[in-house]
Amino acid sequence: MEGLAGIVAAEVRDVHCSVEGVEALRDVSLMVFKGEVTALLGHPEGEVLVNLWSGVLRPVAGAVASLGLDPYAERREVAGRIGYLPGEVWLPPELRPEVLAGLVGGGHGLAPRGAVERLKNILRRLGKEGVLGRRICGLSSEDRQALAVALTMLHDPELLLLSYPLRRLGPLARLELSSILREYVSPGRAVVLTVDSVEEAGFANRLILFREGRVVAAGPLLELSKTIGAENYVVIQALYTQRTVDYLGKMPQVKRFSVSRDGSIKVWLRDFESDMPVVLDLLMSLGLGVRLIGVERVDYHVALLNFLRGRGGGGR
Amino acid sequence: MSLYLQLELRLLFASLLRVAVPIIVPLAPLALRYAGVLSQDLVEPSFILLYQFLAMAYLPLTTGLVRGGWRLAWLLRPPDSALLLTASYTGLLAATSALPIAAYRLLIQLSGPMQPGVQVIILTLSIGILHQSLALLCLSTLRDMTAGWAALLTYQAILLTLAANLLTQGLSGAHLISTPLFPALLAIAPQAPPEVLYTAAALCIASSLLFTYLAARSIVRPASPWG
Repeated sequence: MEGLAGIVAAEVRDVHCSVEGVEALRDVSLMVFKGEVTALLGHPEGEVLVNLWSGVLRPVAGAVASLGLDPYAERREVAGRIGYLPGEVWLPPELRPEVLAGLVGGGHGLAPRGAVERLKNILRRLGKEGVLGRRICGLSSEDRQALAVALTMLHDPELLLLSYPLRRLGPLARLELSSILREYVSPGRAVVLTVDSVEEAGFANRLILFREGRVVAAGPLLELSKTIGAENYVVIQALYTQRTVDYLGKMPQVKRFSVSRDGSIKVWLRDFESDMPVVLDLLMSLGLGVRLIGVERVDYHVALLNFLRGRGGGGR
Repeated sequence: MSLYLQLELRLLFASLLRVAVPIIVPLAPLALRYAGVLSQDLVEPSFILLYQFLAMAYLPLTTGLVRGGWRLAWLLRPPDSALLLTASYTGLLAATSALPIAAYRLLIQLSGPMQPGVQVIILTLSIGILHQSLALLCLSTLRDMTAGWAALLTYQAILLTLAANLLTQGLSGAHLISTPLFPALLAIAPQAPPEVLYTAAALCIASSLLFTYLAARSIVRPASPWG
């Protein structure tokens, strides 16, 4: 574990955590790496993890580390190095964003002018420079959310812990924030955010899926798509369906297949890109009357639902 | 200066009404006295009752601690320590509690008819701090803010009933038994011994420190991410 110290931004080991009598995390162990955006999908597991890493919560059992420190016990040391966005943010409606930026920047040792300048830059990137100079009570919920996210980034923290930062943001602001967060991690900083759907995590380097307090899948989105079954498959039709199926069953490239009522055959391949031409060439050369109907893809929602149902256990 | 104290001061002065209401409203009994509506002996108790009511039900509402709770504090910067927060908030509560008393005493000095003892002033001030800190605690730590309001308004209802009874019937054993829970009764009771008033003020300050510490602790160590 010591060898990983330089690249691990946060980790939990064998963590159990209960909140309001609900067992939110059960024996969870995972790491978040510097240089990566990690998305957490699962409620309340994602938010509880963000709260553990920020030091808001303490686990019932297990170890929690943020930037190599215990965030609950060593909150003071961790405070200046993390940026934390809680769920359900409230900002003082009477104040202007610049005043708040000056206060927050001051709390992190920044000069007020520098903090305001940095806020301006982030808001400009988000297409929200219009919020400056206005009182917070006059801002839309989208603007307030953008402001809250920008405040967490003011002091350039090494670890950004964000609870649902994309909520309440419009499509353009979402795209801009995604791109800002991707760029943010490049110098060795890390971003952890909770998301409401797989699609929201599209820009993340890694997605971690939870179900009933446990990690059920984790990895890069492309890899995870395969795990949950949200991947491309080939639809073919054959003159001799039974013989084709027999051949498919013997091909090492074929992961699985199914025959539809209309006689078409859906074929999932181990490595779609490289295996598809090989398998199709082979099938067509066998004189089975195979015809390619098309390439389709299992929808993320359907795949995720099927995957989670398959992993479902007893209730909490 | 602590970040949270700066924020609270900004919030307090962001709307002048917030400062003006708790200063001007408790002066109403004096105005009524000058208008000849209120008798001389009811001016001081009415001031204290109005003052403590605003301390418990109005001033806490202006704080970021109650309005934004721990989420606001943690968004701005994870708080350093509950002790630092306690010191900051105690200073803020003392200042906001002192302002209405200062305005009232100034007006009395100008008109000159009444000169209450210093022990009553100290007890009144300590009651202002105590009632604010109790409200902070109830509104920031109870699971539902409605529950906090229910507790505070119930307290006020009982206190005002006892106070009305005390002012019409005079001090009785029942009032004396209630004073540990309702120290404002002592401040409005006629001819309470000075040493009792000083002791009550000291107990009020001690309780305020405890309540403020518990409220500050609920920011530093929130019980639940959803609470």
